[in-house]
Amino acid sequence: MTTSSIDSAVAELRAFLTGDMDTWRRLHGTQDSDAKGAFAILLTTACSKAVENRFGKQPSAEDIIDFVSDARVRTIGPDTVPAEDAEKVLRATPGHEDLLTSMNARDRAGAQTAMLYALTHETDESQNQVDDLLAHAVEVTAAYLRQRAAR
Amino acid sequence: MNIDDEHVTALRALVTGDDDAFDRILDNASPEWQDAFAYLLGSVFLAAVKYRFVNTESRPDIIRFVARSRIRHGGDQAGFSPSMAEALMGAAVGINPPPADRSEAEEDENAAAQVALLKDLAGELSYLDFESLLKAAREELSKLDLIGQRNVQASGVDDG
Repeated sequence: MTTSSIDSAVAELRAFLTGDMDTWRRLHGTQDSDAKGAFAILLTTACSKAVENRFGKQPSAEDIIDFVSDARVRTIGPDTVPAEDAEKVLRATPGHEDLLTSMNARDRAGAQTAMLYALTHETDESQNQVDDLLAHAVEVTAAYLRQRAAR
Repeated sequence: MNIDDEHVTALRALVTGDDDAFDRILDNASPEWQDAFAYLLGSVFLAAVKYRFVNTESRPDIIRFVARSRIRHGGDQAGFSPSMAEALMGAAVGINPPPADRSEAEEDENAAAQVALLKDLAGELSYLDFESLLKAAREELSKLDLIGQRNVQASGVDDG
């Protein structure tokens, strides 16, 4: 995986989170396997950070249930993602990563994307965190990929 | 299917959280009695959902109601999934078809969802409104029982 894979993944995720759907569709349709791998790591990292920013390190079940129901009603629509999957990706904080491995890749990516969108669109101020989230996610993703390459 | 006073007493106990009284009745109940109780529970649940959510525009309200109910009943340990609960309530008001061909585990989850949701639906009703739903459900089931008996008689099955 290369730096350009990460760049492409960041551009795709940014386009999605900022509602630039033409760019998102163009990038999404041309991803090679490296870019897809980078996107999956970047998405998980950004989602995890957004969850920590919103709920703290140990979110309560009540807060998560409440957030997911509100997001399905107000932001992402009731049928975008099953509530169970959405709750799982929010509960998959450090130490609970098994919740993610119990899901198939497609469901996991769908739920993470929907929840990241909901977290960054909860209030007018929420969107301001997109740049910070992506910067953090790039850093963590690059470090992870460097470590993996050195093994 | 005969709905007797004890079915009604058991349902009141279940909905008001009087688990001891409910367990006492259930301990001595026959399988037929339990089947009839499940029908009564289902009918009252259906009536209570229809009473609370009047039409198919109620999807957001149902999503929020189910979320609050799950929080009240233990969060992710509530014993039923949000999808199951929403589908149950949605079917009652015509948003989606009733779930079909459920496994035994899904039947158990379905019952857990019905009980928890009915407790919360009943909690929003006045005593008189709940009693009125209960009475109507009992009467409806008795009518079905009569129709069933007439059909059996008409087909000559009970003539020996």
